[in-house]
Amino acid sequence: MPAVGAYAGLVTRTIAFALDAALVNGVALLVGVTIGLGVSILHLPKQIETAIAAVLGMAWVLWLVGYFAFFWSTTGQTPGDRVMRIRVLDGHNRGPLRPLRAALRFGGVLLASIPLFAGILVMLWDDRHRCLQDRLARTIVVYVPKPVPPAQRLPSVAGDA
Amino acid sequence: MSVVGSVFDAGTRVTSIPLRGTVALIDVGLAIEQRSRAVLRAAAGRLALDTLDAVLAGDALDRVLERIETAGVAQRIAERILEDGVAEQIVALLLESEELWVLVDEIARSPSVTEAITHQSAGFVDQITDTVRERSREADTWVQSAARRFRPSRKGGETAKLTPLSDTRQP
Repeated sequence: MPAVGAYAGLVTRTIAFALDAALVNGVALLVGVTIGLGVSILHLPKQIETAIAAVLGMAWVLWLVGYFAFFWSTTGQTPGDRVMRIRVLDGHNRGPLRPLRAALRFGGVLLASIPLFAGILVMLWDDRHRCLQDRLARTIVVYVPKPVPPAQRLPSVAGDA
Repeated sequence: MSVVGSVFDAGTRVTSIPLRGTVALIDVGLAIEQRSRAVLRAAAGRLALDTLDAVLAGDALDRVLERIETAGVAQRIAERILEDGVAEQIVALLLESEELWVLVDEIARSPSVTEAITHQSAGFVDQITDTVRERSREADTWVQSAARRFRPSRKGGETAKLTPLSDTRQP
């Protein structure tokens, strides 16, 4: 089980999410521009261009959900979370989420954002700093303690193993 | 061969003996001179090294440097170099020289330098992210405490404390 600290606060979580959004959309933009430039020189019929746009739109949604679901269900940390040293955990067993629950949690993020982010701001009045998506997916978000460099670790006592 | 010829040959041989002896003597003399020069050179080199060791071991060098310093010689030399524009000329020559850029290129390409630059960059990024994390956690605390003021009061007027995870239920 990973080492955990106190519940993560709003500002840290927002910065982590912004970093993830920048990464996800940056990659999507790069791919979109590359494919768009390729398509632009091919002079394809309008219908095919529309179909490609629709497929790319779906791919973007899948990429978006897959990105968060993958990281939350494996390490519990997206790259943004890793930078800000926070981790998403199952509220009961303190382990990583299952993929479906991770996808549900992402859906919760969208729902929480719709009413002017009210679903996210509710964490300010929750003892465990849970947003709407945390309540839906039964998760918590905690600070991860700073890892101790190997040189500073105490030598293992004989017989530990 | 006639008798006259034989006599002439014998006479020639006899007269060449002193000449050959003289040449041999000159050769010996030259060899002795070369040897003695080599010995003297080695001795002089050794002497020079011994003298240098003695100067470095003692405080003579310190005293010489001290005198140069007190007389302001070094300062005068430096001022002279700067006034005459020698420093600028040296820098200009260095910048014009191809070898300098080859050297700079070599240094920049060396693995130890690139490793050091990478290490420094990583350290710099770590430092920035550490600062961001620290500030964001301070902001978390501030936002949380600000929000707590607007929290509806609970039974008995108590407000829930920020409970660290370690204090809550564990599996």
